[in-house]
Amino acid sequence: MKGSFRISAPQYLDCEVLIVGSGAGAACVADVLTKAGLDVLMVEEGPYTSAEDVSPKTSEAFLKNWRHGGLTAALGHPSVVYAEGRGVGGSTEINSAIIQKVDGELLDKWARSYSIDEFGERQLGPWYQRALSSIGTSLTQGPLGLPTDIIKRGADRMGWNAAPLERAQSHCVGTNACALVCPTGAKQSMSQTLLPAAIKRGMRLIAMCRVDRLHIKNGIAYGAVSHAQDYAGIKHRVEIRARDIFVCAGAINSPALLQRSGLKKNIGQSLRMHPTLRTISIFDHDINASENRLPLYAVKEFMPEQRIGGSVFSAPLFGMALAEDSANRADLLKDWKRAAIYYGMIRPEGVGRINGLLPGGDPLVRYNHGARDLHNIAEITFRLVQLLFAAGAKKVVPSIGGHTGWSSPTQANTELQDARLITRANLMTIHLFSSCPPGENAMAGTNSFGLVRETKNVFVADASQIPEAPGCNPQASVMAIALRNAEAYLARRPSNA
Amino acid sequence: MIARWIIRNQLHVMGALSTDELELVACDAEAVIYRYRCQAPMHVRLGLFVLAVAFSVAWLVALAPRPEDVRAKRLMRAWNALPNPAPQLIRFYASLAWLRACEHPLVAKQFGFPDVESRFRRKRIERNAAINGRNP
Repeated sequence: MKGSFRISAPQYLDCEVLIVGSGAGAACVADVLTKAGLDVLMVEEGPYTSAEDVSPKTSEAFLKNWRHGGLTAALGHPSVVYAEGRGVGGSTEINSAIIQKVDGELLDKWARSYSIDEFGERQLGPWYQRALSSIGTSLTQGPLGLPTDIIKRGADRMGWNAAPLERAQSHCVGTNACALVCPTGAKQSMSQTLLPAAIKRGMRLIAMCRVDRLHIKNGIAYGAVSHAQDYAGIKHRVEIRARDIFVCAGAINSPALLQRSGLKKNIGQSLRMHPTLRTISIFDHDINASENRLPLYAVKEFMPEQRIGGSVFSAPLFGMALAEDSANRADLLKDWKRAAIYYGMIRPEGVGRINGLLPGGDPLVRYNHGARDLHNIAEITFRLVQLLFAAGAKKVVPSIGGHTGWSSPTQANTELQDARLITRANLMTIHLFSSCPPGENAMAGTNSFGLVRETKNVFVADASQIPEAPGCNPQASVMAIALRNAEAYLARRPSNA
Repeated sequence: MIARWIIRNQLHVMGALSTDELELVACDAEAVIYRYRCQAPMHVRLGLFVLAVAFSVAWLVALAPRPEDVRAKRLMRAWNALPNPAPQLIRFYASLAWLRACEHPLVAKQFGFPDVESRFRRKRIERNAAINGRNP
């Protein structure tokens, strides 16, 4: 990105505000602070990938833009594999850019139960509006393709409400490669929108620079120590002095960094997520999902507690899904043209914990499913199976170890009566939240506006500030909360700064 | 090693690749898996090391001296007894081997997978045309 750079020698850097991370939260903070004329330095652990540089090989793209190449899991029974973006733009570079607001009743409930000031539906409304207008949210134009029609047709036949998804996109031509970083630049991710604008206003952005810990004395942070990698892969120590610090490294790495910096009170103890079960569905005619757009309708009938949607698809990704149980599924590879991947996702009660203090600095994540969670996953899986068969599927194979697939909803219903089946499921998620919850009660990790409890000038503005699992795609909420926290910081900032 | 074993033992069901071709696909997958392993979190790398040591000891003591059918049975029993997340970890690398194999031109040709690179090129042109308000 024009204006971002890498470090090629040990350095000391000064700034008014240091922003750690470059995803949706970080970019919104940068937007607010650079407009106010502050000297902002942003550091991002991963590289910048332009649309032209996106590798057509999924295995290369994952390695470059996904944290640990996607080998990240929250350990539990069953474990949940999670994906996070690692690169300029954060997870907005690898998501499908679906933009949804949290249910208003849920926002009001959170504001009450977590004692969060200025947080209800009415208060967050203008922030959502501002977030959405900054990334040009719209419905995708033109034919949406067979994978979308399957959801529409199945939902119609079941009598369920399904609706088109608004996305942060501009002239999307349906490459169906959102997870690899958009190869055409149509996705209005942070590297396409807020970050270049902030750089134009004078922000400095260092890519491939990982913050090891913050320097904090008597509750006041005065800088950070980090390591930057140059183009040859050589690491250089970078000392950064900052007046104030925003930590926006995501729901896993923000708490891990705060813990490494000695800030542990209510930090990383309340991780939430959306456990998701994928299914491969096989039809009797060609779908050609890899040549179509990803499914751009979602079933909203059961939201916010449960949702049905579709995933990006390519032949290699299909092969990857089959490999989960190659003994039973390998022969499906030849049917790749007749296949598509759909998922069911729940808003769970389960809570996870993050330990950022292990040697090597990579956080260890544990997750305990709630009492009803596995039952709810079984329920949404059955609903998904009903929808797919209603839309004409001939076989549905859930992502469950040793499972050979269902050929009718009745068969699925019988098996899914026993939620223990889900303990063998390969659950995954790209939605993680709540690990530094805001509020004025004793359980909060930060105050209502992201100020970390034990400090006077360390703020959090990312998905870790969403109080619970929202039951919808989180990008809009992350942006709304980050804009709100950044403006609150500006308003309370001493005038002599 | 895992990638080669997976590809030799699983991907032969994919189609009529010769032994040499399978070896090429396997080597390519192995190289990529090595890069993923280098990027894995420290505790995962430690877990892989422990697994590798345990497997080597088990192989020497309980598997190698036995006839092939006994060996296979014991291997399967050991696999089923592995505590989580070890099987998941191995499954992840198996998935990677498949992912990479499906990207290999030999396998892509075998199954008629589309050429992603040319699709990306085509879509870039299509989008530029859409922005400029003309047909590509």
